Amino acid sequence: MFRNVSYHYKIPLSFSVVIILTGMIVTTALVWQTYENLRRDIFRNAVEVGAALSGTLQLSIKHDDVWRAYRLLADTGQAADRDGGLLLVVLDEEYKVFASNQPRQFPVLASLENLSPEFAGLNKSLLQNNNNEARPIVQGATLWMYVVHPIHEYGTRLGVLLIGYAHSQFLPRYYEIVWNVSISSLGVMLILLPLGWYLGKNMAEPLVELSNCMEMVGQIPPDEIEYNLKEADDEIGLLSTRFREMLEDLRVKQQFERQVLVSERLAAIGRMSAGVAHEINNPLGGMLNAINTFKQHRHEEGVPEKTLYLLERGLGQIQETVSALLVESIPESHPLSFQDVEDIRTLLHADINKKNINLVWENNLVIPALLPSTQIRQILMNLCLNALQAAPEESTVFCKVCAVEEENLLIEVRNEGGDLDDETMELLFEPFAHQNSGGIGLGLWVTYQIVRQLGGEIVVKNQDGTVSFSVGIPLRNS
Amino acid sequence: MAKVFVKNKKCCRFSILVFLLFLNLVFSGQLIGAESAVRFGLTPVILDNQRDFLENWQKFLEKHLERPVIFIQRRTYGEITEMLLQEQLDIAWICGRPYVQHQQKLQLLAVPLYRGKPLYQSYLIALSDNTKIDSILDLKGKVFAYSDPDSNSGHLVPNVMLSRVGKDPKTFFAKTFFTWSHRDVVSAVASGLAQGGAVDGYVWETLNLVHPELTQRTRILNRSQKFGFPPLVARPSLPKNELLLIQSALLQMNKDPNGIQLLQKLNLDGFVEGDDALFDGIRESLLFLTGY
Repeated sequence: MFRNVSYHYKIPLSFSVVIILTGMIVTTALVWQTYENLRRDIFRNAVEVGAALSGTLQLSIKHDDVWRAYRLLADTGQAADRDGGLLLVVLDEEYKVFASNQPRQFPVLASLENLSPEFAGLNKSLLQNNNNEARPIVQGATLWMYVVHPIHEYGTRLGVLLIGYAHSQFLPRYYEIVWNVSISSLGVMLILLPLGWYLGKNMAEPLVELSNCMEMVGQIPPDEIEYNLKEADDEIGLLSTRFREMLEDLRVKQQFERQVLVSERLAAIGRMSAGVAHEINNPLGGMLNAINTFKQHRHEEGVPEKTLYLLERGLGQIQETVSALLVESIPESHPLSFQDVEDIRTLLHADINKKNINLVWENNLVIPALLPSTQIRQILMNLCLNALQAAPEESTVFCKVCAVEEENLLIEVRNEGGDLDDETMELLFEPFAHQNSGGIGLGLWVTYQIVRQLGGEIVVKNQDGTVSFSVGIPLRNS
Repeated sequence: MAKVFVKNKKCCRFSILVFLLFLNLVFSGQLIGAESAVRFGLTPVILDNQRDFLENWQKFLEKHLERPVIFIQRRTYGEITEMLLQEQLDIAWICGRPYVQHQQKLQLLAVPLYRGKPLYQSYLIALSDNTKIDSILDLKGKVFAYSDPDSNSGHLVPNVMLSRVGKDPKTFFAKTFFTWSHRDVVSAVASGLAQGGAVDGYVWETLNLVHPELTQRTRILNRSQKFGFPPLVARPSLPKNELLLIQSALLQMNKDPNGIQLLQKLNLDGFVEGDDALFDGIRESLLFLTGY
């Protein structure tokens, strides 16, 4: 999902995530540190309070002066915290309450087991332990922390002072600090996030620009691609430089291709002119010879007739060549029918028999196709004659005519005449390009012209020794 | 060694200087002058912690006696009584019980009038929201607050009450303690430190006017019979004329606007000469409890 997101957003988002995570980690660390400090402070405070009280409390226990102990505890509790968050309980040697600053909850003479659940859970051995040192015990449901402070006289234990800090005293302070730290972190994040977003966006910009430019390659000509790529020595800068060079190469290559196309076209025209000149020059030579012969032997018997015959034959040849080139002059004819296709098959009989060819013929034209029969017959005839000519003896020639989805007429002719070389493929549809024993090399050129006139297209495939011509012509609606 | 010698020498000089200064004071009459002041001992039989009141009362007495008056306060009744017997005080406001115990040596100076009579009661109090306790017998095995071991209302009365129903005050309560003032008995019970306490009824009522939030947290279980109000007494050797002067100053208080204002502060109506028979109730109690 995230992989498909543009770097335009991905980099700023990553920056933001890192900033938020950092903020959260720093906040957590600070809060934890604060908690620890607060705990340590409170413990230190408890030890100080305990040390200050224990001297007087020691005398109170010794003299069994409950009232003095109570006043001391009550005054201390009130001075420390007016909300009763500080609990002070003095336990005597038998761990019974001697006095406390909250006598209702911790009445005089109540034993440890009958006190609050936290104190009930407090093992006596826990109190006896660690003889003359104060120690913190954390923590209970109502009391957040309490400190056990021994009261002793010359090493003899007289009792213990329990100093308890209620949640109500600790939590507001803690929450206040958490709130302050969170607000500060949020403030820093609010400053950093837009900055991170801006930096991330700036970083992604060249990459996005480069990507947009690359996307345009192939869609619009390289000349028209506008780019605003900054030069730099970093990776994106190098990529941009390479891309610019590539675009320049592409431009030169396309220019070169256009030049090649023009020169090829000129060459084709040249070849065609040469072909036409050759085809006309031959009979013209013959005719000029005949006229010379006639000048010298005009009185001899039979010469005028023979001359006329030669002239007629020469002119006939020229007419044949010229009319073959004038493809568009072929007149309109009736719609192509099943029988028209079958006629071609009949006409091919002689050639098939000569080379003992296996002709596979598929004529699937059920209803007459709305296409001029003369032209289609010429296309089919030309392709078939070509195939038969190229096919080796006793090979198979495949011919198929059908209408596809009532929209196209499809003609497919295949032979096994072997692969055509690249040059032959290139010049396949040019006139006079490959004259062979059977013709003057206009067959495929004429076919190509007719197909184009009918708005169709012709495709040649040359694969594994098989050459196949596929012609598709759109059927006319009326 | 030389340094030590120098130090000692300095010390010696300083001591001589102090001694000369002392002699100077004695002969100039400063210390003798202090002896001529009326030394007035106070105990927590009244709310003795109102500095403004004491200053005004001091001015009033000084004006009428034309002598300086010094108030002296101690934590316990016993200390004041002892100072009085040792003649370190001229007069003192003490409880009826020490007066009865030392009546041969002490001179009765005056007895305050409370609600028109020189009488007061002892109150037995408990926490107001503890409805399970209705009488002193319900306090068995509980924590009990006394005011002072020498107090009639705050110690003698509850003990006599228990003894009369055949209970031993020493073992009846699980724990007892002294707060050394009636006011603190009320505080001890109100805070829940003690489940019951014995307090001077006059102090409780006066406190009820000044700090009702404190007294409202306590409930009166029992009001005792009436006893002679804690009297003002004089040291054994105080000359009669001095005693009468002081007595007259006290008796005139309810006739003087300033005196009336001071009495209002004390929640008292005035002072009377008083009759020794007022304290017969306390005598009976002592006789019953201790046999003498």
